Amino acid sequence: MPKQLSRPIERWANESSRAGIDAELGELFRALPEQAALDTAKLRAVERRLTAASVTSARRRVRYWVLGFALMSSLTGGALAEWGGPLLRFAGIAALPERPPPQAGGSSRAVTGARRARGVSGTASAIASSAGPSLTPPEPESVPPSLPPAEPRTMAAAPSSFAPAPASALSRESELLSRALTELRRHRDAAAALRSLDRYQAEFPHGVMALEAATTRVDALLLLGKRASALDLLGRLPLDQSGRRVELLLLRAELFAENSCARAMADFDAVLASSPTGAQAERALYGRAGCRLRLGQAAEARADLVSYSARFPQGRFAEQVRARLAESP
Amino acid sequence: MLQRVAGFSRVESPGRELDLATVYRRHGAAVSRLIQRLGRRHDAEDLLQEVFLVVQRRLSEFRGESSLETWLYAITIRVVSQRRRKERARRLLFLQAAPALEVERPPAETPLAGALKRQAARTIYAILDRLSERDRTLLVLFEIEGLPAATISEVLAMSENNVWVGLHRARARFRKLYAESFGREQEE
Repeated sequence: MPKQLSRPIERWANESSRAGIDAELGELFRALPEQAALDTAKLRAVERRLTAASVTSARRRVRYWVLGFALMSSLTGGALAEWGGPLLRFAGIAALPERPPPQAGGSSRAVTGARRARGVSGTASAIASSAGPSLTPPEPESVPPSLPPAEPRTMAAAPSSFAPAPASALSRESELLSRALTELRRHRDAAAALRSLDRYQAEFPHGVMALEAATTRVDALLLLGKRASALDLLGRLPLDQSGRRVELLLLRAELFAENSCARAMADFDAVLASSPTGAQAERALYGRAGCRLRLGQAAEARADLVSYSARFPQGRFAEQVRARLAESP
Repeated sequence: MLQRVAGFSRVESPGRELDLATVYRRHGAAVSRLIQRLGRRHDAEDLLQEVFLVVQRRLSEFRGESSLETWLYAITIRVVSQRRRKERARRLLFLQAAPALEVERPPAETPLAGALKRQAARTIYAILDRLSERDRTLLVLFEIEGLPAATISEVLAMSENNVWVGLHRARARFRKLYAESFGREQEE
């Protein structure tokens, strides 16, 4: 190794020569401004995403363990029953229980189906009503939009490697949010939920679960029929950071569509481009078709209606869509 | 041994168990600053998350043989390099142009001072962007972050002699590009 190359050097910023390239570079590096860190809001956003990621990975790990354990048990249990069962029974050591007869019908599936049916937002009716004269709105649901229940991400569920705040503060935060969710989703008491959320906001204005609290507030406002306030809040939230991004975008699109289809279009497009669930895609396609009709984009609206008809022939708005398509072949 | 690095708190108390939240709260801001120093202002938030996901995975392996700051520096540099390599590969694959260089826009004391600072940053990062990953990292750590060679050798896992040799060469290349860009004659 050449010796002169390994000798220590002075930084350009400390360069003392008065002329030449090194002097110019010295000036240049001295003029370089201090680098600021990311602002607090961005740092908090990253912290929130890290928390969510660590909860997800912990849940995934638990799931793998359970699955592995179940697999091992079934394999070893099956082998034992096959090979050792008669011997064990004979020896009176173990009695292998009779397998109970299978339950008729999938009750849990029925519950899920019912929950999913309830999950279809009532705001779709608002879209339908704004979708032009030929798209008759569906019967409005008695219950305002009931968003699918999502448990709050409690830090208690997070692995010990990432417990971001003092436990007491976090448990208090989690408790307040859980209370609001229970009041909202179990008791359908939006006013009480809002009171709990106000308390949460007062105690934790920049809490770890602030985004979840804000989206819960949206749900509560909708339940109270305060659609303008809900829309106002939705407009201020960083929906991209929410675990319910697509759902909330769709909700915002539907609320926008009540007054301004031009503003709703971007959200409908974003929902349809984000691999939505079937029910979300159904609402988004129908909503966008309605908006396109109102905006005078007949050909595009027709394309959406044809797409809706093909994808959801038995869908919630299938009748209206067919009627509209029949009107303008 | 390790000199204080701007923004990093000195040393974790020995024997104290570290958790990700503590590490993030103490060092997140400093790591975000380093990421931007490495020329990644546009995706600093995303990279910060990536760095701490790596920290989360590897925190249990941290034995305190180096300081936590050095360890975080090394992870940050690796994550940024990987991201840059991936982007370069993607650009080559899809024949995309390199993104426009983003430079920092500090609050200016006066319009003229602000303009000078912006111009300095733009010039430095435009040249750094044309250097190899290794040269750029060495120059950022030494010339901009002001780390001593001993710390750089720990962060980049190379001998101190090699750090000096690398710095001599990186500076020569930087000087050459600067001279070419601004029509200066290089002194021998």
